Amino acid sequence: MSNHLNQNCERFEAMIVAWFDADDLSSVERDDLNAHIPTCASCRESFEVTSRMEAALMARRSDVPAVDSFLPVISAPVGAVRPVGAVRPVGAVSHPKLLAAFRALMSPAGISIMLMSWTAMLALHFRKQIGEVFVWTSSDRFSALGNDVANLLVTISRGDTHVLTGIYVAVTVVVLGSMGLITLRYVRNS
Amino acid sequence: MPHPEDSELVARALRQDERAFRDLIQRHHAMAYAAVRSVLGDRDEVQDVMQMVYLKAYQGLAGFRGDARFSTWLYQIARREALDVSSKRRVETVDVETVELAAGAHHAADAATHERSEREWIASALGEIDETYRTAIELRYMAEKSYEEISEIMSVPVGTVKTYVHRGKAEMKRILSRPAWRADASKS
Repeated sequence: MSNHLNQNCERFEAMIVAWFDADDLSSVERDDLNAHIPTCASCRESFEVTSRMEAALMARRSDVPAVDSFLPVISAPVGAVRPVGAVRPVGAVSHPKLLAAFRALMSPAGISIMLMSWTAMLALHFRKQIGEVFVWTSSDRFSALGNDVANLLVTISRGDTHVLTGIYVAVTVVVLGSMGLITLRYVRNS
Repeated sequence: MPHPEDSELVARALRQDERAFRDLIQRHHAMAYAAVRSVLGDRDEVQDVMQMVYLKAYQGLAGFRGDARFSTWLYQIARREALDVSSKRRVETVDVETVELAAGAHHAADAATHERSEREWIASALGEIDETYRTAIELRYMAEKSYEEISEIMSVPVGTVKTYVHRGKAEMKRILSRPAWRADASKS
């Protein structure tokens, strides 16, 4: 008899959880449960716990805060945040990578790299005068190195000024490009 | 006046109609919030994550091609963001005994402070069950979604959703049937 009751209670235990979902129990099962609960203290207690749990779960709807508290970020001025692919304002930069590269160049690191590059190019261009200064200041090593580099470039370009200019430009692009990429990666990671 | 479809609101939002985006988010806010809460619980990061979810939804709206429902798409963003935060800062699991000890230490003079509200216990029980079950339950109760809607949001069959909810609630009931819960429940 007790086994029969336990089996019954196990069956009703599963039904009690389903009770609160209207479409989860058939009308026959509901009637069975209605008839059983008043006669079984264990199932009555189980029903009570489930009922409390259900009520507390239902109350969770009120835990959802108003959406307004999450929206200030996206109600920034128009253009501050724009859906990707939306119609662009006239004159806007059409390529985000170009914009990112420009930002990288305009960053402190990018400006420093550009200044250093231009300084190096100027130093190479005015190597003779700078060399003379270094001679006067008792050190001609820099001048000699400058002359060696200049002679090497002249040899490579075979004295053609166009080729020489091309070499200068290529070196500048390589230096700026590589340093710009490093800066871009730094900016993205930070 | 009939409510516009999600697809119509998306199209209007893409034409810089901020009101349309706001309506879209308003419509699915409870679902997104439930999705985030199911991963993070009631941690402080929820506020930040929700803002990030809506920002990413706004920025990536053009990438929404309409293959799935907007709710499914937003749910995936919410879940991904919550999991990302969760993985960065590991959840410190606090069991019931620890909570009780802490409460007792702070309020030893007042025996009544050992009572915990049903809402807290529910949150505690939800925190202990499987995350998939928790998500289904949060969507069902917090977001008040139907089984069919949850099925579409979670991309699983309706029967599976019912199983998730049923098993989750059975598991919660088992947790809530512990003596501590029953003692407190009888006091409150």
